[in-house]
Amino acid sequence: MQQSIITCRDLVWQPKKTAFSLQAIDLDIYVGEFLTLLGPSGCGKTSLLRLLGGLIEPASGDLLLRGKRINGLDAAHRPINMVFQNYALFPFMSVADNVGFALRCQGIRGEAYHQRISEILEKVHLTGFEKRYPSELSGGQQQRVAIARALINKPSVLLLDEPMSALDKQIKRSLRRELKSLQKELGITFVMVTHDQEEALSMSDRIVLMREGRIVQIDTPRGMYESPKTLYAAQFIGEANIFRLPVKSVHDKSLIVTLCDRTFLIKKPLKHEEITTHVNLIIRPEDFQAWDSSEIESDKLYLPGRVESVIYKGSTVELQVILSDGTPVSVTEFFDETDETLDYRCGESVHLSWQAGWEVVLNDDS
Amino acid sequence: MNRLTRSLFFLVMAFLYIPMVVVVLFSFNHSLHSLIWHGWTWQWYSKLWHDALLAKVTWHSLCLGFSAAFISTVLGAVVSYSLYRYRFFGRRLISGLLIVLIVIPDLVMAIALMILFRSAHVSFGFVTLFLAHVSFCLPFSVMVISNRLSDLNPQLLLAAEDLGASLWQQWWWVMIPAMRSALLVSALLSFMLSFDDVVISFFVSGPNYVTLPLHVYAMAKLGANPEINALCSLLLLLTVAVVLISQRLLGKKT
Repeated sequence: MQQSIITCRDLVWQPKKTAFSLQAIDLDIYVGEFLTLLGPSGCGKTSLLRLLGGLIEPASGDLLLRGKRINGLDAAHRPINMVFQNYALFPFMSVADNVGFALRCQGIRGEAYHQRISEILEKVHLTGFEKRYPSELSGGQQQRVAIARALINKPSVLLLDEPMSALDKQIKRSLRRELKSLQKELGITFVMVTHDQEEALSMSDRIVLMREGRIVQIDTPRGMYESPKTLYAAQFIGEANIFRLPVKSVHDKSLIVTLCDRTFLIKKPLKHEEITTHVNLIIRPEDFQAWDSSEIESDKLYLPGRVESVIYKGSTVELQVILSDGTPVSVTEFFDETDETLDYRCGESVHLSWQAGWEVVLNDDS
Repeated sequence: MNRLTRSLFFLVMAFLYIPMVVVVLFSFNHSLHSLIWHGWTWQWYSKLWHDALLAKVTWHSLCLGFSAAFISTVLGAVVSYSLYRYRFFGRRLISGLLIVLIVIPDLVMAIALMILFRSAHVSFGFVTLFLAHVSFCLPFSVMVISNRLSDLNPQLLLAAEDLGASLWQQWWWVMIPAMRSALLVSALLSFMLSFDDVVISFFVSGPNYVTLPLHVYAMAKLGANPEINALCSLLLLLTVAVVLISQRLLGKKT
């Protein structure tokens, strides 16, 4: 069992005059992990981050830091600091003055002041940049200044509020790598807010998926992608083909559904009593395989369809296929030793199959 | 530009600037009354320099200008900050009212202030002038400073708060440096507005405290006077300097 550093118990936040609120937030943040709060805009992820940082106060519930209740403690007195959107560095201060801001606020001067600034700058590999101004730094260097500024008081947790939202894609990718490795080196708990599922998947130890002020699922990136607990999670993270199918019959370990007039036996992950008249079958595009008629013996176990569009992406080919019952389906094929050519034409008829057991079966979202 | 627009352009420029050239030129004219050129002289400038009454009213205007500029800039900063940082009832109304104050005719404001001071039994002199000048400079200060704040990243203040800055420290280390150029521009603008005001000052000044523009106005009524030409040339020089300084300050936004 991992040790938690921050614990939220039934936190509620209800701002005045708006319909929006955070409800029943239960969350354990573990020591040293990289946690991501993920969701579309307006899901409450930034508000939750601000609750943790003490910039806003919960209406009810408990917020614990190492088991001690910290509700009502203001931002300045929490050992939690924040890296803001686009870093919010003070443009009229040098790197050293930015980093030393929190120390000056406490009246720390002289030898100790400079000592601590050079220590932290060394940690983020910015020694020698003391006299530069933020406008003279690259995106990566600004990120490191922002982290150094937030870490100067040795907080237990660092909060990051969509730090890379305004940067272009190329820079983002390298900054992600840098941020992740910095977090590992420093060994500090990071809690980051993002609406970018790719960012969440590639950086986090665990992802907290949110929707309309509630937590939908907390899981590792792999768990989130491979076993989403709701249709919302399946759709938000990665691409998913969702088939809503009537249940033909239910057996001990499997259920039988029909799709395109073909009968499929599906492993039964849901409990018996949870199964209603319909289930949702979720298949990721890359779990489909497309065959042409010469490659298969009988079309009994394949979904017949027609290629609608082909997008070549270098390492993959993305197909839009319309099944015989009219359902559009996304299929991603990889170039590998088994299939080197991957030559598809629009209008061609194909037969789809998927790796048995890789499908996810879910009820409708309540 | 074709020839027609070019000639029109020069015509407009000439129309705008010829009066100033004339004033400057005649301030060096060696003749008391004539509007014909009689040769070069510094005498009007030297006469200006030795005019004790003029020195006194100039001193009045400088004191008034500096104090009004300082107070209106300080108040302007506080008002702009409140409008920027807080969302309160009547916020938009206040912004709107400030714009009304900018375009309101001077005469209306002058009479309003005069009635107010009369009914409050304030004796007319420095205090009434000062209050009047602050009240007509303040909207301009708020406009200049608010405009600068609207470009300021609001996260800077949150960051300062998160790093443990007290309200005072947030002001001193974040807000004032961020507003610095706008504060200077506001002060310069307020100073100029105060320094050349005639209409409002006319209604709220007393006999013991005459300002430079009021004095010049009185002098000009007595007829053409080369001394006034010299004075106007100096004021023109001052204005150009202020414009250049404020443009440089606004140009480089730190």
